[in-house]
This record gives sequence, C-alpha cells and structure tokens, in this order.
Amino acid sequence: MREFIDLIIMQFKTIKAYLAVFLFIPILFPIAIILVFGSISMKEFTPYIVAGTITFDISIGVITLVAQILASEKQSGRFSLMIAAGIPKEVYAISIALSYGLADILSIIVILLVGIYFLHLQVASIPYLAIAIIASIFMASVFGMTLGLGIKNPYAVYQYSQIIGLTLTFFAPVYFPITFIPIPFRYLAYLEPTTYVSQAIYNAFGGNPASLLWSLGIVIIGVIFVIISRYAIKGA
Amino acid sequence: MNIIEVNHVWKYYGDLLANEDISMFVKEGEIVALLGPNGAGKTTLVKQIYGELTPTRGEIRVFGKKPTDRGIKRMMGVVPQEVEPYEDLTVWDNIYYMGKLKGMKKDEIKKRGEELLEMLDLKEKRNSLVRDLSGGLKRRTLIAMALINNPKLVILDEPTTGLDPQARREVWEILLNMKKEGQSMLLTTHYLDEAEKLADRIYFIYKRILIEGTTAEIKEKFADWYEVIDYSAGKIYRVKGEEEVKKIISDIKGKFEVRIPSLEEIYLQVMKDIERVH
Repeated sequence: MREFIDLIIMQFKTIKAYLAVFLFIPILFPIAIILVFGSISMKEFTPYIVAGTITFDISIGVITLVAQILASEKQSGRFSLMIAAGIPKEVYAISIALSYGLADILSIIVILLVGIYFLHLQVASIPYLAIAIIASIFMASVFGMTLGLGIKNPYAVYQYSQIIGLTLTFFAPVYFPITFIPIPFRYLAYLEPTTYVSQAIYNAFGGNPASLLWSLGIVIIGVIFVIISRYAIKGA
Repeated sequence: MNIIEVNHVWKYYGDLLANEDISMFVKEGEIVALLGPNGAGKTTLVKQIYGELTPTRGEIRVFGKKPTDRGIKRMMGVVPQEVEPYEDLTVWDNIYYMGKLKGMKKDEIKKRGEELLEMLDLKEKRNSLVRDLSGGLKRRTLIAMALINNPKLVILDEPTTGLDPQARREVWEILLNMKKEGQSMLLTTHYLDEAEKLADRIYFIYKRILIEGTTAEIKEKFADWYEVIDYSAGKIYRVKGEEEVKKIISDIKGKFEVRIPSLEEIYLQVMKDIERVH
C-alpha cells in the first residue's frame, strides 16, 4: 500500500511537468466549449451542455490520456524498471490510471463552476453527481488502461485513443437527450459508455434517482473493462 | 556461494525458441557476462532472472529463491535494456522514488542517494530534469536508481548500448569501481571488449550456452588456433595446429607474424559455426 501511494505521488510529480498541456486540454479547452455551446443553445439544454462537456473532458482527459501514458510507459521500458523494483505491473498500471483519473477531478470542478456561474446551472443532488463522477472516472481509467495495454503497437494506441476519445464524445448522445436519437440507432448509443456518463450526470443535475441507474450501468461497463484489462496486462 | 543458479531453462515465445536448455551460475562477488549477438536470447534470459518472465521449462534460483519473490527484488538492482528514467522528474527524484518503491526509509535514501550522486558524478545534475541530460548521464541515473538499495546483485542488460565511446568508458569506469568493492554483477553485452574488460567469466550464448569460462580459459580452449599474417602478400591465414603453421611459414617470403587469436576472433569463429549449422 505504501509503495502504491508513493507511485501515485510520483505520477503527480510527472503531471506537474505537463502543466501547460494539462491546463489547456483538460481545463481551458472544455471551458471554451461549454461557453460557446452554452451561449448558442436554448436555456433548457444548459444542463446537457455542462453534462456533455464533463463527459467530453472525461473521455479525452482520462480515457485517451491514460491509454497514451501507458503506451509510452511500455515503449520506454518502465514496466521492466518497475517489475525489477518489485512492483507488480498490475499495480503500476492501476497507479497511472488512478492518478490521471484523480487529476481530472480538478477540471471537472472547474467545468461545474463555470456552468454554475456563467450558465446558471443548478445541481439538485450533489451525492448523485459525486457517484456519477466517481463511477465515470473509474470506468474511464480502466477503459484507458485496456486500450493502452491491450494494443501492442504504441503508435496505434496514440491514434486509436484519440479517435475513440472523440468518437465517444461526438457520436454519442452526450450534448443532447438520448430520446433525440431514432429507435434503431438508439440501441447503438447504449453500447457507448459515454452515453451512460452523460445521462448519469444530467439526471444528477435534476436530482432524478435515474442517475443512480445510469451510474450502475457505468460501473457494469467498468467491471467488463476490468476483466478485459486483466488479460491485457498479462499479455503486455 | 552461488547467487544465481539457472538450471536447464527453456523459453519459448509461442513457437519461437529463445533459450534452449540453459544452465549457468553467478558466484558471490563475481562479474559474469552473457555475450552474444542481437536475438541470441540474452535479454530473455535476464528477464527471467529478475522475474519479468517465467521459464517455459527449467528452474531459476536467485539467492536460493524464485526470482518473482518480492524479498529477492529488494536485494537486486536492475538496469533493464533500453529503458529511460522518468524524464519529467529530476535526477534526484528518480533516485529518491526508486528508493521509496524499494521500501527504503527517507533517511536511508538521503544518505545513500548523496553517496551515489558523488560516486556517479551526478551532483551538479541533481536538480536537472532527466529529459535535459545526455545519454551517458541518463544511463548513470539508471545505475544510481539500481544501486539505491545497496543491492547484493546488480543486473545490467546492455549497459552501454547506444552510448558514444566516451560515455561507454565512463560507464565502464563506474562498473570497474563497483567490481573493486566486491559487487556481484550479471551483465549482457554484444561488445567483446566490454566483456573482456569487465567480466570474470563469460558465457557465449546463442539461444544456448556455446562456450563458458574466463577469458584465459576460453582462449586456452582455442589454443591450437593460430593466425598467421603475411605482411609481404597482405594475407591472413587462420590455421589449426603447429604443423600447419610451420607449413604456411615456410611458404612465406618476407615479413610475417604468428598470433594466437583474440577473444573477438574466437567469438566470430564460434558465431560463424553457429550460422553454418542453422
């Protein structure tokens, strides 16, 4: 456990080196999106704009980033370094996924504050929102881990993770209600994890207990990724 | 006492054979080199010794225990092949966190870390980010990370590959100083001069162990090989047995030289034989 905490601290120290990128991609970029979308959309869709932007942030800031960081760790041989130091590769991979997941909480808070102050968003249930966000970060971290370790070629990981990150944001109902999608296509949307993230957060804003059901969906998807990532770690 | 014992180890990657019935050992205070070309299975063997891979068949014992034992790892320092330190951390942070991950206390890390900075001439670079360092300094940082826990055994997988001649010499100097202090080491290399300069014993490896012994013993095994250099004709003859040497010398008109082959020539000959068989 002590080593695990040291790994997390070490990861945070390395994140510090990317501060400029960290400030732009996971914080300033989503703020720009939320303000632009928020100013051109109707007021009743404001919660969707904020929920969608948080989903976008989790997609890019956790799934894509964790996958790319793990691929780069593999490429630079640091898994060997850690195994030689007595750290199991599972623990090392989880520490990276978790630290980037936790770092993303900061940008989620910033997005929420921008939503509240500039778009007059109201959050009816903080517990529902906390559950939705924690479940989403867990799922996104494990998803990123699966991508980063499951695909052997690191350059392929960089490409796929970017495409997946963007696809899961703009080809899923994250900025609008799922009911906007006609029935046969709606079933496809249920296959996208970001649908669950966005809906859980949106329902939490309204204090709707359905948020918990969506969060349960996120956890189930997360557990599926845990199972897949175990095989990915073994093969890495 | 044998620190490392490898008994009849076979390793396959799918159908690809990487190690074939390898048996070897490293005694306390000894430097052993695994020498072989790229793809000879040196890294695969080393990875099994420090517990990253497990043998398909056979057994490996390090300090009498399985290499995957976490207690064993605390007694080891490893510099894996083509690995980079954390580029976004300073030299000191790399050393410090490696000490923490190896279960050391803060005070111990600080004391040993300062010694290593001094020993490896990294003091001035203490607060530099690793990404700003040259290849040689990065390698020194990795060595410091491997040595932070004062390990009884150091494993170095191609410690000087990719370094310029000066940086290579610097790493050699460090390893020779460690040797003077009685450090046990296992290193892999494809540089003959490196093995000859650093190792007490050498294993020629190409999937399996081809030849084993000290430099002198290996040369002794090839004692009936001679190299006759005919300076007047500009020719080199490699011959076996004194009678053959005499015959060639009698035909030479002008200056000539008779030498016993160097380790490099023996190595090249052995590898040529292997290529012929395969």
